[in-house]
Amino acid sequence: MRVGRVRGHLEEEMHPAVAAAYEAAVAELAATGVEIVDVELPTFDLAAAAGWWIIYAEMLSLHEGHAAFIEDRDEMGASLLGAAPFVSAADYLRALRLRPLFQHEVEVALEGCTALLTPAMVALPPVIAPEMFVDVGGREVSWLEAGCRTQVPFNLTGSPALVMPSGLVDGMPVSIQLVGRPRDEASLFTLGAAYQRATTHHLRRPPVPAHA
Amino acid sequence: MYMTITDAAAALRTGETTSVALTEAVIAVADAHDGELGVFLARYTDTALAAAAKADAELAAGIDLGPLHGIPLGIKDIIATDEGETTAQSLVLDRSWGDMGDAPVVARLRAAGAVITGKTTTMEYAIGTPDPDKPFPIPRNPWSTEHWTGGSSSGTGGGVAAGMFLGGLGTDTGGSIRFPATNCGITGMKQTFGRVPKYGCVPLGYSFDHIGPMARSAQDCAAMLAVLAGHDPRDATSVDRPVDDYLGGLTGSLEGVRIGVDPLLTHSSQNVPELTAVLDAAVAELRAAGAVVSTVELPLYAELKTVTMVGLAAEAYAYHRPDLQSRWFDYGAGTRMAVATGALVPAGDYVQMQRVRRVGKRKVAELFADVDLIVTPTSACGAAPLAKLTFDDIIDALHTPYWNAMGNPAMSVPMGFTTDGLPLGLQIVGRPFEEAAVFAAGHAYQQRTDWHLRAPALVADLLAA
Repeated sequence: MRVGRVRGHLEEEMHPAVAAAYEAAVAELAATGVEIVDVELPTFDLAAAAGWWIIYAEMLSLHEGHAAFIEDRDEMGASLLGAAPFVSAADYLRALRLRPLFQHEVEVALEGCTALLTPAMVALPPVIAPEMFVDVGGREVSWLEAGCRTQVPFNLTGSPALVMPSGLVDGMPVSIQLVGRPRDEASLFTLGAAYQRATTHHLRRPPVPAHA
Repeated sequence: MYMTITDAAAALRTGETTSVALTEAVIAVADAHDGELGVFLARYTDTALAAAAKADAELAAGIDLGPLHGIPLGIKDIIATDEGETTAQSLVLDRSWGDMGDAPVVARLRAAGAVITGKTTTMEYAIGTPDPDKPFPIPRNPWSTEHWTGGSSSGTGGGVAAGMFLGGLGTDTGGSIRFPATNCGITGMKQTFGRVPKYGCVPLGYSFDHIGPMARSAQDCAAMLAVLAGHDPRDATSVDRPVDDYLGGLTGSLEGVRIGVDPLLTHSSQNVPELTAVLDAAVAELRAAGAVVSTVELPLYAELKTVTMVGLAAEAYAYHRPDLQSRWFDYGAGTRMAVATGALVPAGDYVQMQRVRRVGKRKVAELFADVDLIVTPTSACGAAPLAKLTFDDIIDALHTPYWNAMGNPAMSVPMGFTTDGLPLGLQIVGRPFEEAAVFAAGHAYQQRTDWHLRAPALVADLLAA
């Protein structure tokens, strides 16, 4: 089987140790007999933005009645709900019209491949704090931006996506993401099972305190 | 000569007339009155006469392409045709837009032998109000030239009423077929969303837009829709399902058909006092034709009318945003204001609109479990005076936008006149894809009445000739 490693935006800005762990995981996947080739999703630097326009619109439609109680939200919930009204209907419709173009890019990248491979996250999990930032290599970005960069685009395209543990960095889990064709979850499970037969990352347990 | 398409088709086959004679007659009416009535943006006289001569030769040779063969028609100028450019009655639209040639609907009419007489006036981009400061004709109502035809299929409505062609294409996003139909005393059908492909038509609100037939009678519209309907993959909203036999069910009887009436009197501030009596008389004719009539209340009426107006504004603004920002003054005053309101619609409201729409479709489907058809007035009043047109008043008077949100087939047939002599229309609505039932009701009504055959005094002499 052949897997397309998505070069470019989705992996160009990463926490250095997370990036190193990702390279190791790619090598592990290749060692299971999968051929890894480089592919591109040329405009996926815009996919998360388009995805957020739709999320904001749908969120506001559902939660408009709760906007009056915005003070009861935590800071992140309040900021998302507060920003939602600033997405116009025209922007929403534009995002809907762009969606097939992003889907087409995934289809093109998948030509000759069973799945696409990306990091599941480009940073480590954030430290719990009033404002949560993560290191993406040389600069800090909000946790939400880093967390969604590799994931929201595939909510937009509707692609099946499987995330699997691929190691530990500073004691925290890091993962890879396999993305498949619409309704082809089976291939992702096949690839994932092969990877997990050859590795033990998914069997690691957190060091739970004895009294818990 | 004030023939229906049906009459003309029969006369062509008995030798009583020819397509060339029909076409010359409508050209004569246009020569005499188009300057006053503002029906055409472009006239294709030479190609029309050539097409008519071809139709005559074919019919003489025994080649019969059906009821539209040799019939002069007009095409609203937001639909592309081989003969010339498409303007959308706007300075803004890039004239190379129409280089694609015949839209599927026009190609189908042409293949059925129709004679294309020209491109007809519209509201700019099918929305707004006429702007006298722009270099386009102002459509005037053949029944009273101080009054508007309604729109946005203004020229097709006025042209059929005046006898400048026997039928034509309109488009309907909030009522733009049914509104000029009620105002001009003709019949106009907005069939089910997706039934007729819209490729080659300038969009307004793409989840509300329909192309449909306008003509004197329900039978004429049925003959046109039989040609227009059917799937085309170039329109993503086009539905792939068989086309019903629209003409076969025109029996004149409504025996056992359950019809729900909603006069909608509380939903407009512009009801003319005679509306109730005119509507009651129309309903009495339906009952006399065998219908079982009951009173119904359209669910979520105000909400679903708002769905259409908010949704089409948002969709139109999404399409026009770049040009509105750079060419504001090239748009007509009414058009740019109507479209720009779409800029004020938040995305959350748009999504909410679509959700309300789904609830509405469910409730309307429930109502259609108890009745087979629903009738309402098409408009609360007759045509508005050109001197006092506002977009808000237009929308307030109309009972058409509700059905663009729902997508059901809805047809306006003439049902009488105001005391001022302006036509009023009856809107007949069916279940999705049950156009045949709507046509059957319209036809039964028109077998018992002659409102659809009344001719405006302005053209009576020419039509009698």
